[in-house]
Amino acid sequence: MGPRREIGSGSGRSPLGVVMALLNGVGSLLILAMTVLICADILGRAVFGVPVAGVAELVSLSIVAVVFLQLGQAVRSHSLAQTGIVLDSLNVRAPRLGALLQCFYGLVAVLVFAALFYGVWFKLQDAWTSNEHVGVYGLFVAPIWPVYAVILVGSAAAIVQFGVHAWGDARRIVSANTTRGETS
Amino acid sequence: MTGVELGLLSVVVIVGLIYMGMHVAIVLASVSFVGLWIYKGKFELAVTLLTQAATESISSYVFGVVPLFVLMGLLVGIADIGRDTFRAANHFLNRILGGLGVATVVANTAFAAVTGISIASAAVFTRVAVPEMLRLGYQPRFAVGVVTGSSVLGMLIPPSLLLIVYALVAEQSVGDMFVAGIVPGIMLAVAFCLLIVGMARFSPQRVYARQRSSQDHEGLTNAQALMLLFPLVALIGIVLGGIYGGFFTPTEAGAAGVVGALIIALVRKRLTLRSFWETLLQAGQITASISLLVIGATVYSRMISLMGLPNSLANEVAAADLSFLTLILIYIAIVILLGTLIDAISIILIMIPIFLPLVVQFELGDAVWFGIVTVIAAEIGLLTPPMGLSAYVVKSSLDDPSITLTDIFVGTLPFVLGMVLVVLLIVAFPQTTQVFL
Repeated sequence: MGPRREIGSGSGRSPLGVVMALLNGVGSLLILAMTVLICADILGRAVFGVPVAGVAELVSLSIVAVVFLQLGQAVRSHSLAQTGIVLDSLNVRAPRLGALLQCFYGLVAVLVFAALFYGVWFKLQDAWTSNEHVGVYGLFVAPIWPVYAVILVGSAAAIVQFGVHAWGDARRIVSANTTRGETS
Repeated sequence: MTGVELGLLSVVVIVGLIYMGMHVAIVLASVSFVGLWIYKGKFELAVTLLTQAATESISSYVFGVVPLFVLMGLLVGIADIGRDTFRAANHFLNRILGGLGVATVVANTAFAAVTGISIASAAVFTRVAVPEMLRLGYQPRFAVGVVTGSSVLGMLIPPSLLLIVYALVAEQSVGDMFVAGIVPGIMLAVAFCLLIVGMARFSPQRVYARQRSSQDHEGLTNAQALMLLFPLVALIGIVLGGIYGGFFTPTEAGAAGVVGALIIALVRKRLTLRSFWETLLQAGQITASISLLVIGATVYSRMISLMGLPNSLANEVAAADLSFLTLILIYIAIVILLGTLIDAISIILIMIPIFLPLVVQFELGDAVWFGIVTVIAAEIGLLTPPMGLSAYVVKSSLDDPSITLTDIFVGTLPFVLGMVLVVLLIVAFPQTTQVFL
């Protein structure tokens, strides 16, 4: 696994690139916030004997946000885990076939995230109307709908970015350009 | 088509698509989605299971270990801890036969205790240890073989991402997996060291390219060498000491480890605001990639159990009157074979939902032990062609273009045999995974 390319490469400064980088940045800041929160909790208990309320709930909610905020950029920079060997050699020896496969992979991914978007959309509505919360009343509660909203944003970003890749691959099928992923 | 046939077909399609380069998480999610849809005939059910996987499988406090240990591993890499560990190990071990090789394994073992990513170890030690070994007249094949072989220690010795992923998928405690990984990790390191000393003693032409030059090592004093190790030891103390001492949950240990690694990197002036930001972004991207894998694997795992694959496999095993030992040996063989097609994490994600329910039915089948066996067997694939990921990382980190991938695979072969031996030892002596439990 591991990134197939340097992070951020090919992200240019197109409007779409800016949006993805922004989401990526917010998601990464959340990791930092999680670290600070957990350390505050450790110190709070060790030094003052008082835990920080709601750390477990906040961490479990933010981890979902971290992942889905990163998604667009992860797709854009080809850092989602995939096995490159067959694809790389195809792109050299049979670029049209390689592009065709990648176009297919991109379209499947679009469909998967569309199904997820559809499913989470209903969850968001339920959570919003019935005012769902996590945590223990009296100690700490947080509404759950923002997490669903972030999943929707992340899925939408993934749909757009996979779609853009697939479009670029489709054009490569026609032009048979051997370079990989010149899309943005 | 029965559920079992459909399930088996799905597994074959999944392995094939991963091999053909489709995103692993998308393969798991999409094939399972379609499989469930066909099997139950209800589109909505497939959507519900996918949605549940995305919203629930990673939404837990325990899952916080993933971004935290990834970030810590990246920071440790930046802080040059790998290089210092190697210098210190070299100082203490260079008088031994095959000393630099042994020093590489020992340094890798220690480094593995603060990083969870094999890739990180492979990249760091390729840059640090290989040039040093070549300079002192070691065989190029031996030098790259040692680095590639010992890089797998990073994935076995806690904190390890593979152990974390196994714990999440198999619903075991991350802490238990970390504890269980220690002794097998040390066994593997010892096996590698013995192998190196043995090769240097009985087959020196495989180890040394020319007569050993004088021992022109750095000339550190013992005190200086110990000082080089101080940050590493402190970090191991915080993270592993914190978990085993019961002060920290694995998640808290990850957060404390991030702060520790950050302080070390800052004190050594290895980190600018810009490089810290880049590291943070990279940690986020790796986290997204791993989490998406877990989401995909959750859908897959639901499909496998709904289709009754583990049950029918259990019936087959009972009908064939297979002993537990035979079953495990067949399983290890399958995992090693799969390792020639797909990567270690994919193997774990695919195999666990099918085999774990079967294994735990046996009296001897302990889920933690089974995880360690699976991780080591899956890691063998990191070292063997054509999918040997570690070998590719070493190749891409090398400055010397005259060393080919074939050299790396050939040089790594003895270590692959060492791993097979250790897996068999752990199968024979399951107690090795229960020493501290």
